Amino acid sequence: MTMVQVCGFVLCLFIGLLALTILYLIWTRKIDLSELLSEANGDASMSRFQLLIFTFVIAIALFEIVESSLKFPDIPQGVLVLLGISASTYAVGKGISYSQPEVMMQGPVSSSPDTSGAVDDAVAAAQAAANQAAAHAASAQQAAAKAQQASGN
Amino acid sequence: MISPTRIMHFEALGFLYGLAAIVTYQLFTGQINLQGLLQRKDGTGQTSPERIQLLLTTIAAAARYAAQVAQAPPGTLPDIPSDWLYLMGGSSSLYVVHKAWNVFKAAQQLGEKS
Repeated sequence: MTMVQVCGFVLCLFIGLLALTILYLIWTRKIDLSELLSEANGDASMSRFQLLIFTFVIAIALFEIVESSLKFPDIPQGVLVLLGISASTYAVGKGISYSQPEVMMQGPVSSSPDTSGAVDDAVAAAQAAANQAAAHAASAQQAAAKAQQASGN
Repeated sequence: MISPTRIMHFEALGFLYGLAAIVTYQLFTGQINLQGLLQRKDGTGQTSPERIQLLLTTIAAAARYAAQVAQAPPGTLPDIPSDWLYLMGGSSSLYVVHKAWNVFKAAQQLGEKS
């Protein structure tokens, strides 16, 4: 076995372990992909979804072709234009969303069932805190009245 | 004996398809958040026709390209016909223009309320 072959096997081992580790970490959710398609307000983004689909389709197609011919093919202009359209849609959509952050952030409160529970909890907690503060204020007023009475006597 | 090039081929193939499988699985089991994918982001929570048309166009274009790749001669990445590019450009433009209009309208309403 030549030195080149040994280096090749070592490289294969390293890349194989790296790929396995990445897949394992994604599967066990230590690499968290849950927000892969989410915008800043927690809603999923259509343009991110589109970019994900095109990236996978073109990456798998490119790999299959490299694998079958063992050479890197020319990337046709149409493919570049398609990826350009997809990436531009994503960038422009992001620009529109972030130009009016107050509009984007109001979205999940009214539309997302997952977050509506959290919002209800937050409202209930705020009401409990307000009740507690009112009770404290009432007892403070009573104490002040008593102190006034005591100073008057 | 199997060559390092062949091993590398299986590793890359396994990684790419493994990643695609995990992402697809997480999409279907809800581990990757898809909440609000087809809803307007102007606070109304309505289903958005422009998002649905973009989703359908995207799936159609991706499926068509995958079919083209399967039929292409070995060693060549097929080009995308210009009519499909016009379709994708038009669909994406419609989505972006609608999104801009909805955000502009919602910002105006917020301004009037405050």
